Amino acid sequence: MTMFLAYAVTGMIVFAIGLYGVVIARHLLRKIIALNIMAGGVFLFLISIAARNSQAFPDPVPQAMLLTGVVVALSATAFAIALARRIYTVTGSATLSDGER
Amino acid sequence: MSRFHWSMHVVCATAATFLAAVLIYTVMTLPSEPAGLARLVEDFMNVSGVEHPVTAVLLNFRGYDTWLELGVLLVAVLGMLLFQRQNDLRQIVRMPAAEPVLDWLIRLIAPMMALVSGYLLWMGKYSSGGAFQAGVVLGAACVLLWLSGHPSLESLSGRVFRFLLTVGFSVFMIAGALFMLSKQPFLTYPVATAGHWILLIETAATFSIAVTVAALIMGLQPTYSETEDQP
Amino acid sequence: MDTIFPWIILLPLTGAIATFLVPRAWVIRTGMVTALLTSCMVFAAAYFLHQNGPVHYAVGSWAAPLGIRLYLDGLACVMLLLTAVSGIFISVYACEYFKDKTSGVLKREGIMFWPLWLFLWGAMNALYVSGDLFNMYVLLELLGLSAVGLVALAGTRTVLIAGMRYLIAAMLGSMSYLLGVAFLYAMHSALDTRMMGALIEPGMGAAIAFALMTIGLLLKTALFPLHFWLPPAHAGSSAPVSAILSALVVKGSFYLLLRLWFDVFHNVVTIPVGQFLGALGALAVLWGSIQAIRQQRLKMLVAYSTVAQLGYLFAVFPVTAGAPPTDGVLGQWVIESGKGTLYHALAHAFSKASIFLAAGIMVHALGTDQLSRMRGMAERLPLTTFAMALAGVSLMGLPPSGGFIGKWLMMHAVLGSGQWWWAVVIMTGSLLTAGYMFMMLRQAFQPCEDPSLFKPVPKTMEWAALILAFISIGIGIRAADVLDLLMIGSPFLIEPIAAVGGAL
Repeated sequence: MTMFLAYAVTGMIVFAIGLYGVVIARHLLRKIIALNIMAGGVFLFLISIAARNSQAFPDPVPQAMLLTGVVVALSATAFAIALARRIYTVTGSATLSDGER
Repeated sequence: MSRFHWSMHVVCATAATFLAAVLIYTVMTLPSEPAGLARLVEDFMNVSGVEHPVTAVLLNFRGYDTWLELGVLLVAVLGMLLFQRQNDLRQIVRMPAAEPVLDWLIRLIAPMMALVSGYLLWMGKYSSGGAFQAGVVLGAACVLLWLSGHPSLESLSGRVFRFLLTVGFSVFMIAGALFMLSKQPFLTYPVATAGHWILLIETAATFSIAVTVAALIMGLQPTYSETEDQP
Repeated sequence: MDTIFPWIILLPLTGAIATFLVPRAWVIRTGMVTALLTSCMVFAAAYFLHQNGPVHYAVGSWAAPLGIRLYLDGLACVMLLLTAVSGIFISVYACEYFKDKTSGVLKREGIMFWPLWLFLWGAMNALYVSGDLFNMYVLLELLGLSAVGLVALAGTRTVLIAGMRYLIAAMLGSMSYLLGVAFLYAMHSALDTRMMGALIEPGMGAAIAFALMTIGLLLKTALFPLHFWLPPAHAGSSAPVSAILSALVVKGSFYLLLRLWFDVFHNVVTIPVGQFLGALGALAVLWGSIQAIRQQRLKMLVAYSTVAQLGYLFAVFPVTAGAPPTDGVLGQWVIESGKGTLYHALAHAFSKASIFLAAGIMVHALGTDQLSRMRGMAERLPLTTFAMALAGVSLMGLPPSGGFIGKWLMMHAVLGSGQWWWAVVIMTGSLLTAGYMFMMLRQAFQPCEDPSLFKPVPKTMEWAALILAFISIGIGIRAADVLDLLMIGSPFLIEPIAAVGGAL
């Protein structure tokens, strides 16, 4: 049970750090990395759920959710980076210049 | 490096800490020994066609989600192609040939990576592995070849490139729809041959994922026409 | 029905692949054929639903919680029809819109439009019938990425930045939603919505999961104050894309909010939560309408109008939180509010799509969407102006339009539940809507100074906008039929407390 708590609590802290990063960061790449960190926190939490009950094998459904989530996060990140690069090419700067977030 | 006043940093940091605290408190209240779905998965393993529970969940029980995830990968590549104003990778600048020692090493490693990729694909049935792992290794091999000046994905014609991108999603869909002819719901495989269908789908998905992942990296590289690109 | 059901998802996705693979000359044909076939399938599904009642569909023949269950009831069907009917006319419009003016050949933008649009349509259809929480996450991501791709289609600097904001908001929303789903699974080891609704218990875990999932979906639905990404994205995109975003995409995440509220969290939500969501909706209505009045450009006006109109939809939450069971006389207003919200969403989809398409026609003809340059539109583009006027009638909520039915049902429910203050908000909102609608149309009816400013516009585009506006009025006239369809499967059921925890 302590293992579960250790990973789950770490996941929550990482999630919060990522959220802070997305709001505060100005450079697009930093925002995207912060989003990935948030995702990392969620995935850590999912793994901790899977490892909880020690029966025949760890719960495969959260592991499957995790794998799907990682691929989806990868796709979204790649998409975001491509868009950020296009913004850089077109505007010459990699920040969202007009407005807060 | 951020144009926010330091007070904004403090406010956000406090909010984030508060959020973390609330989440941690909630985590403490979670049950530590619930009945997960492992027992249920175990019961149906013998009809799933594979021997690894995660593969069974991913490719059989909840294959619908995996198929849609291949769709998400595809949309990501579509977006990349849209933003780069390209239809395929043929405009990518060729890298110079690597120095002899590195070149020799890559000629050794790249085929081995292809072999490892095939092994990972096969092992998906029995252990951790499967289409995604195999696809990423194969994609990395493609990127490695390009980095050292060898012909890689950019020498594929537009049609072949687009076909490879979509083959995983399409084969999965066709395999899932095939048995709808015999009045079964979508994505039902006959129990006896489920393993073979899963292997077929995973093979197609491996190629798709390899090309997708490599394209997402190579697609952002400078192209021959970049200097003429008008914003 | 079992043979038809999966095709409402498979057809648009097959079409998306096909439009990506075929040569340029075939793209429009492939796209339109897919759009027509998908709509036919949706109509067929609606017919079967009417004859045979709601349908459960176990994908892969695996029952929940092991597998994923799809579910078609009246609510899902109405949303599918909303998407299909809007989708057909938007597709027709897009055929003409993306053609190069001089040569008639499909522009580069148009080639990428069709795969992204069909992926979006497929994702929406799959979302409306989904009965699994994680499946909804994957579909939300698919929907979000396709939508951002469509926004960035135009390629201009403003639209790229708007798209990036939208993408970041969408990814934040998805992460929050996923964490909520993880919490729910950690507590109850199930991902099926109905199972979760039966298993869930009020407590810290359920409350946090609800908060996380709701905030994620609110980001995607652009409810005040999380609406910052919507006006630039909706206003800056190409006309068909603006129509798709305002009419369809925001409805998808709202639909999920509604489903979660009724199917999963109905025991967990308390009255203060409902009032809070209603208050945010009220602020959206007031703030969005005031901002709309202040705009100089037509598309920005319409985009802020979307922010405002989405606020109306949230009146369902304060009315239904902590409400008595719907089998009694007292609980009837829960059903009324559900009907009103859906009707409002339906009418908004058609009228908003129509107005955005009309705005696109204006840009095509005049080269700008500045309100001050709209003079003489009534003379030169009568069909388009008529479409805008009809759509405006529905948005204002004048009888006999669909918007009127929606507002009337909502007022009925709000007053029936004793929460009269929402009625004040609805009335004020309608007045403000009338304000910016008249502001917009006043310009169009000014005499035309310089006819040569107006370039010719393909008639197909004008008719597409006009027919959608007619439909937004038509659903008001045929309201009884639509409402009957909506109520199949009792989507807004709140069971008496004793029955909860028993049979699903």
